[in-house]
Formats: sequence, structure tokens, C-alpha cells
Amino acid sequence: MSHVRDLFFDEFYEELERVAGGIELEEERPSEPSILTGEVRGCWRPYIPDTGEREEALVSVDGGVQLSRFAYGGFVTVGRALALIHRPGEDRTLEKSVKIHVQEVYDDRDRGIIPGYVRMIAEYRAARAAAERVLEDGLRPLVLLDGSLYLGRFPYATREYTHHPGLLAELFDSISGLRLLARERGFPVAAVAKDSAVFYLHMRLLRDLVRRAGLRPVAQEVEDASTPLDLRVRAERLRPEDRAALSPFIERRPLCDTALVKVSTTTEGYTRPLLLAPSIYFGRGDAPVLYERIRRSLPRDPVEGVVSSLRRFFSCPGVAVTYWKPAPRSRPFRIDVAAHALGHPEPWGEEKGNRFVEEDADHGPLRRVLDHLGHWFCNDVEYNIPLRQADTLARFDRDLYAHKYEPFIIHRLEQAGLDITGTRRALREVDS
Amino acid sequence: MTTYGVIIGQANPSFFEFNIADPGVRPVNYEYVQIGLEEQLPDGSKKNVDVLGQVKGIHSRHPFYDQRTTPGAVWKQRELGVGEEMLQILATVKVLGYVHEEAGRREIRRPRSPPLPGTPVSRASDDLLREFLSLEERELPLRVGHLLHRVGVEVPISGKELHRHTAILAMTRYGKSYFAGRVMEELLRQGATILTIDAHGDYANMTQDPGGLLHDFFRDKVTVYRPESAERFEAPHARPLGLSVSGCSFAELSALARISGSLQTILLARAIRKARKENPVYTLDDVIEKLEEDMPEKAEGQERVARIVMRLEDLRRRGIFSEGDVNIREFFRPQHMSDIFLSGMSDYVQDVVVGMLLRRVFDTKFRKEPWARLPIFVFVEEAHRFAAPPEEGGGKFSRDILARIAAEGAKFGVFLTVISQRPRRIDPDILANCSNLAILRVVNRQDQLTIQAASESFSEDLLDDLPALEQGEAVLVGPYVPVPVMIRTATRETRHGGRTPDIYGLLKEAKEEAESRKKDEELLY
Repeated sequence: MSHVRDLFFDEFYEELERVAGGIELEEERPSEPSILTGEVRGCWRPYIPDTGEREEALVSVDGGVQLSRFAYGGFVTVGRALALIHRPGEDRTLEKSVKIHVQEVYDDRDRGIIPGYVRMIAEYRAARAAAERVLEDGLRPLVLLDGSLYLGRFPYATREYTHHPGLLAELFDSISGLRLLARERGFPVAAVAKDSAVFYLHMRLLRDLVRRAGLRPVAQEVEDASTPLDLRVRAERLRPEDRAALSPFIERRPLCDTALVKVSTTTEGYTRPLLLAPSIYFGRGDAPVLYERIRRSLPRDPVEGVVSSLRRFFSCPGVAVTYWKPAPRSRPFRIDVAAHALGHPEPWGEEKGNRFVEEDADHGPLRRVLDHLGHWFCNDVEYNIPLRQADTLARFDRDLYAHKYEPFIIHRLEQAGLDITGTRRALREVDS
Repeated sequence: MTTYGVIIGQANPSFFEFNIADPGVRPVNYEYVQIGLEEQLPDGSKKNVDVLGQVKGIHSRHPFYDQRTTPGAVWKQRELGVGEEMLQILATVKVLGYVHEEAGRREIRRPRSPPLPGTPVSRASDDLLREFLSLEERELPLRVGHLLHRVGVEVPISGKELHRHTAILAMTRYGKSYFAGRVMEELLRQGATILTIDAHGDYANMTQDPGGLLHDFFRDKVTVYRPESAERFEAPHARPLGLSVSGCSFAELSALARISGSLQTILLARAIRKARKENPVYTLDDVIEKLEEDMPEKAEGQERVARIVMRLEDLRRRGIFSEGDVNIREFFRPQHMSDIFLSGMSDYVQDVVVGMLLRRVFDTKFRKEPWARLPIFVFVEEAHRFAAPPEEGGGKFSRDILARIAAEGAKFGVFLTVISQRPRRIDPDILANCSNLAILRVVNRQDQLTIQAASESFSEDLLDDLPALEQGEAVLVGPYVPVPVMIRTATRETRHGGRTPDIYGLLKEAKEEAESRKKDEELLY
């Protein structure tokens, strides 16, 4: 904490009052129930997990990342991940992975994106190594990652492919490596997100509602919109009569998926799994167009490697999402499951839009995943003990990094001939 | 040698912390450890020394079992296994020092350099500990116990250093008298002359071994002196303790008889002078007789004399004084202990007796009587009764002489040891003059702070140890030990008198007696 006397508190307090006042004014309006409540109940599957026998060896994966910035664009990212393997009835074992990425970075957007990629590479590598170890022992793994299996922000900007093509190729390869192995050996891969705020389910249900209402002229707009906010913008561009027809479906305060499930359900259970299309389809163009853009932008040497990694990535099975409530009053968790476990082993690249799995699909594999999650659930905070342990072990504390890792990085990279000059900020903070 | 781990974090010449490598091989609290250190000497040269330290704190932690983890989650964590690789056990060590020998002189030095992180920490060898704690013969080593957790390492205290006076402090029933008795045994074996103020008769049986048989060595080394008003005690080594009023100073007698008016004082002084003239060893009756002989003619004067006589008779009834006087010379027998047996006497009488005896002992040494050339070790049991400050209701007669002994006794060969369970009630001036401390279990915070205030060498960390001590365990601090040390008192050679009554045995006996009486009554009727 700075020891300088704070000069801003009066201004801060004034601004806080202004903002809070604005919220209070809005809240005076009566809140309406969501128009999608009935839709959510329609896709709700009550289920109490069977926490008794669990066959699979649970592989729980989490990671952490830290970075160093140097003068003149020097940028080092260190990701680390840990897979905790628990065979029922035995003590857990660990599989670890570290990924270091060194690059000169001049674009602030890249500095925001790269650490996430590095962390994911480490996580998928650890997950795959652990799954292989379990398979070698003749057991079936269930790989559980913290967060999501889905790339919500797919790297479709050509800039990314020109700035760090090798890193992206590594990212796609590490993801594909696990997913293809899972499909080939028939084991589930899942992810738990505790605080997801996406609108995938919301939009799918809205599209179905609009279609059932027979609003054909506006149905495509709803189909193309990725979020309720996007839909509101699109509605502004419609003819007045179409806008009026659509207005009952545009909520003043739309609820994200987890909030929607929370207010709409009262029992334990999960939503009918929703197969997600690659997010690229909500941008402009599709995979082949992306390949072309990459080919046009990159030199010959890296381009084929990157495109081939991308092709491999899109040849993997897709991702399905469900929202799960372990207890009647608990907040829903978003659960991503690799789609092959739900009877969809086909390449992901073939999915053009989000859709529910078939009504008669076998939910057994998904329920086995939920059985594991139910067993390790304690409460809304300690929601998965193996993941919590993996998080504790892999979390990358800034102090730890700065004191134990960064000095080695600087020393070794200097030895290797890199110009490691500290930033002025770093030099300034030495005394603080 | 067992290596526990290596030093981590910040270390300084007084304290360091180490990380225990194998949880299965870890030290216990108070265990002694050693490290290697390169010490820079005053001449600039460097020397490798073995530094001794003591574990003063040990704690373990595990990231999965922190305070925020709910009970349900803890059991789920257990299901995954304990995860020993994440278990961290850390120990804090207080540096005690290293042995330095120069020009035939041996001393314990505190290092000036901090130990380096990464230095291995091992269990201290018995040999190093012995080297550290050993005393040369001229130091008069008294073997009072062994190191806590190291039965094989004896801890001697320096009998020579007892001239700096000693305090033995602890809660009741935690081994003060036992420890003091052990010191007395060792002193007697070294030839010492001891005077014990024995408020409860704890040391009266030191002629016997623990089984109650006469001890080969101590059988003729102890004499018990019993005042007439004390509890019954019969033994071949017991003698009556006669205290003549003639041995009492005028001021003491005035105070005892509560005679304070100037005319009364003049009358009493005149009567004493006359009685002494006739017989140097006079009695209270002699003084009363002289007062009555000189009865004034006026009624007012007669009343005054009558009041003095009444008070002197009151004093006589208390049984403090007797015919004949103790021969103070007997207390100075070499290799002998004189036990002043005060059990059963009122606090007031004990105070007078102790005050008078100690004053005579001190005066003897002060006057440097040729027959009293040997030093005398004075042990005062229940010292808070005699050495409390006046405002705390301390002994009117004994407190001043004890304060004088504490302040000047060392010069004249009177070495004091106070023993008490209420350190806070001992006059701070007396306690502050006791450089040697033997502290057994003390829980009361005020007592702890009194101890700390009385001794500069009693550090905060030692204070924290006191409530954790078990019966018979003591912290020794002061010049009589090379470094502060925690010991378990050695087994006594003689019979210990300060035992807790055998309630179980006594009640069983009572029940049998009651049943037998009942049967007798049934037979009668």
C-alpha cells in the first residue's frame, strides 16, 4: 500500500454517489419475470447425482500464469499447470507442465491475449499427459478442467496469426491433442465454470421462442445475433413494424444463462446439453475463409503449420454446454463437455450454429460426469475439491514469480543473448 | 548425526528458522540443535564453530487444510490423500552460542554473524551439549538435573556462583522444594554449611533416603531445630530451638510487645537493663519482675507499668521465647545443614523467629567471628511470608534482614536462596538481587512479569515456556549456568518432605476405621 496521503477520496465518494443514484432510479421500475422462464423449465432435467460408485480416474486440471515485461517490447510469459489424478480409493498423484513463451510484443492487445494462451497450452499438455498415464494403467480417465472447453473469443484476427503464429499453432495442437485422444479412447473431457456470464442458452431459447411465434421476417436477425445486446443493436436497424414485432423479445435487463437457470428452476438437475458451434461462425466468415486470410498474410514457412493445426482443431469433436445445479438452492455451474461423450464425435468444424442435443440422446455419459462433480461438491464456494487442490498447487502467485522465477529467467535469457532491460516502471517500483 | 533440514528465510545471530525436510524425522519443542557457522573473530580471522541452538517453536501447515476450509471439505480433501509433499513443518531456533577457548579460558560466546540460509540443521550431539554445559571442578558443579529430553546429558549448576543469590519460583506442587532439596544435597556433598528456614518441615527428613532409612552420607549432616511452639517433630537429629528474650534487640522487643509510648519505652528499657545486669540471659519473667519492683507511687505510673506487664505477659503466652538461647555457633558447622523447623507456628511467630535468627547469623558474619569463617547458604522456604514488602503485609522482623542479606550478604559470605510460589509478593529489591533463577511451572501472568522484571536475562521467549513446564521441569537462568537451560530435576538422594498428602490412602483408612466402629457398635447393642 502506498504511504502517500490519498488526495482523491472526496471525488471518489461523490462519483460513487452519482453512480449509485442512477442505479436506484432504474431499480424503481418493477422487475418482470424473464420471458424465457418457461423455456428453461422445458429443457430442465431434474437429477440427483449418484455419488456412490465412480469408475473413472478423475484428472483435475488447473493452471496459472505470470509475465515479465521488459523495455523495448521484451515480453516473457510463464504458464504452469497441474493435473491431479485420483483413482478412487487411492491417494492422488500429480502431473505437471510448464510453458515459457518469449517474444517481442508491441501491441497491447497481444499482451492481454498471450498469457491466456500460454496457460491453456500448459493446462492441456498436463491434462493429456495425465490422461495417458491413466490409460497406461488400464483405467478410464475423466478429465476435468477449471473454466471452459470453449474458446469464447476465437483468434480470428489475422493480426494474431502474423504476430504469434507459432504460439497459436501450439495452442490448437495442445487442445486437439487431448480432444482427439479422448475421442479415440472414449473418455470424457469436461470443464466447470463457477462464474460464467454467457448467453448461449438464452439465445438458443430465444430463437426457438421467436420461431414458434411465427416471426419469420425477424427470425434470421435473432439467429445471427450472438447476445441480447447484439440483438438490441440489430433491432434498431429493422423496419418499424419488424422492430415492433420483435420488441416483446427484447428484455430490458436480459439474464445471462446461469442467472436465467437460477431464477427458473427449483430442483437439482441440469439443462439439456447445447452443442456449441465454433465462435468463428458468429464473426464474419468461416474456417476456410480464415485459412485463406492466414495464407495471404503469413510467409510460406509458418503458414502451413498454422493452417494444419487449425484444421486439426476443427476436426476435433465439438463442445456441449449444460447448466448444473447440485442442490436446489445453489447457484448453477456451467459445465462444458466434449461432444463425443454425448454421441457427437463428428468434426466440430461442421457445426454452423448452437443446437440442443437430440431429445432422445443418451445422457448417461453426462450424468456420470455429474456424479463425479456431485461427489466432490461441498458448497457453492468449495464446489470441487480436486479442482480446488489443483488450483492451490498450480496458482502462480505474483510474489513467488517475482522472487523465485523471474531472476532465473532474466539471468538465463541474458546468457542466451537477449537484451533484458527493465522497464522504467519496474525500476521505479524497486524502492516501493 | 540426524539432520532435520536447512535454514530458510531471514536469520540473525540470535534466531533462525528451518524447514524440516522429512516430517517423520522432526525435532520436538525445546530440542537442542546444532549448525556449523563461520565466525569472524575480533582479530579479523575466521573460525568454523559448532553453534548450539534450542527449538523454541515448531509449527506445521498445509495449504489444503487452512482455516477457511469447511469441515465437509476437509474430509473430501482427506479422500484425495494427505498430500505430504505440501506439508510444511517449520521450527524456530534460539541461538545459544558456541564454546570458545582462549589462553586456557573457556567461555560461551554468542555468534556475531548470522547463520546462512541453506545451512543444514542437525540434532545436537550429546557430546556437544556436555561440552557446552560442563563446569570445571573449581566452579563447584552441583548436579541438579539433566537436560529436558536428553536424559544422558547432566546439567550442573555452579555452586560458586550461588554467592549471587538464587530464587526458586514455581506454582505449588511443581517441584520447588524438591529442586531446592537437590541443591542442598549437592552443596552438602561439596562441604557447604546450610541454614534452612523450613516453614513446612519439607527438609526435616533429609537424614533419610527416599525409602525412610537413614542415608549413609546424610545421616549425620542435618540437625533440625524446633521451636517450642512448632508442630510435633521427634527424631534423633531434632533439637529444641531456644530463643531467649535476651537475644532480642530492644527495638524488636518493643515492637513485639507493641510498646510505643515514650514513657512506656523508658520504663521497659530500665527494666531490661536491670534484668541484664543480674543475668545476661534473662527471661520475660525477669523483665516483668524488674518492672514490678520499680512500681511508681502515683496511680498514673502504676497504670502505665500494668499495661507494659500485661503486654509482656501476652507476649509470653505466644510462646516465642523460651529459657536458654540457641547457640548460633552450631549453625556454622562445616558440611552441615541446620533446619529451622517452623511448621505449625503462626505467621507472626515465624516472622519473629526468622528475623531474629537471620539477624544473628548476619551479625556473626558481619563481625567476622573466627568460628564463623565458612560461608553459609541460607534457604528460605515460603519466602513471600518473610520477604514481602511492608505495604504487602510482609514480615515486620524478617523482611529487613532478608533485604540486607540480599544486598550485602555476598560480601560477608551469606548466600541467600528464596523459594516461593508467589514471586509477585516478594519484595522486588530482594528478588532483583537474586541473579540465579530456577523457575518451574508458573502460569500467573503477574508472577511471570515479576520474574522478568527481576532478571535482565529472563527473556520473553523463556517466559512463554513457563506455563508448559511439567512437574520437576525447570528453566535455569543466571550466572550459575553457561546459558539459559531447561532441565528435569535429578532424583533426590534424600527423603522429600513436601509431598502431597496421600488422600486416597488416608480416606481408605478412614472408611475402614468407620466400618470397624460400626461393627463394634452393632456388637454392643
